[in-house]
Amino acid sequence: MSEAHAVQPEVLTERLTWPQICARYPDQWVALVEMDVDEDSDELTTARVAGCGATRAEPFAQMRRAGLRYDEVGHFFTGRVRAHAIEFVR
Amino acid sequence: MKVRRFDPDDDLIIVKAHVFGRHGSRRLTLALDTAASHTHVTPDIIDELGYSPAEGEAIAAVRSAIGRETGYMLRVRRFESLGFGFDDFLIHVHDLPTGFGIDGLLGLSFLKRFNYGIRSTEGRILIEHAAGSVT
Repeated sequence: MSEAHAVQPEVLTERLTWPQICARYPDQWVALVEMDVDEDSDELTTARVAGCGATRAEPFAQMRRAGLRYDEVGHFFTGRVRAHAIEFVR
Repeated sequence: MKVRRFDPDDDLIIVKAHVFGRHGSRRLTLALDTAASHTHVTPDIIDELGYSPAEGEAIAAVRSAIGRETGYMLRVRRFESLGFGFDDFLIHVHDLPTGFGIDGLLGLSFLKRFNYGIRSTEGRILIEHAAGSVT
């Protein structure tokens, strides 16, 4: 687990499970810190949310604005991943 | 033999990866893509890890049915996925269109070092390495 630098605890959530994170931040990108990961499955057990947003970059931008620095950060999308359809035109 | 699970209801096979740089590491999700020759990661992640395009080994372009995307090849300090990892692993850094809930693609540059099976209806990937190919 990493140490936070210049921590501003009010911007960090309490420790949450992945289903709880998905429910609280639906269809968003999230930056996760203090992650507990099952190394045998790569599955996230619990983590604290340090940033969220509609774009890939927004969670990291929030962390920077809050002065949060962690060595290990998770970057995940809470919604279902959908492939984009490609329309072929004859 | 290692086993990793994925959600068979997703449109893509989504796996976890762990990329390391001088500013720490980032855990992310990639789509397993046996049609991709390289492993791809978006610039957002790479920039966060302290890399810059100036460290790139080559400029590269990806062509697909939806267009052409320019990026660069970069050797990251360490790359891990599916329970295995490599130091000084070469990846392709380029952006993805918005709307994909992934940070890149796990391509053959990683997968070809293993024997693996994808059991789609079960949502399982079975993977084992060839001798001497992994750390």
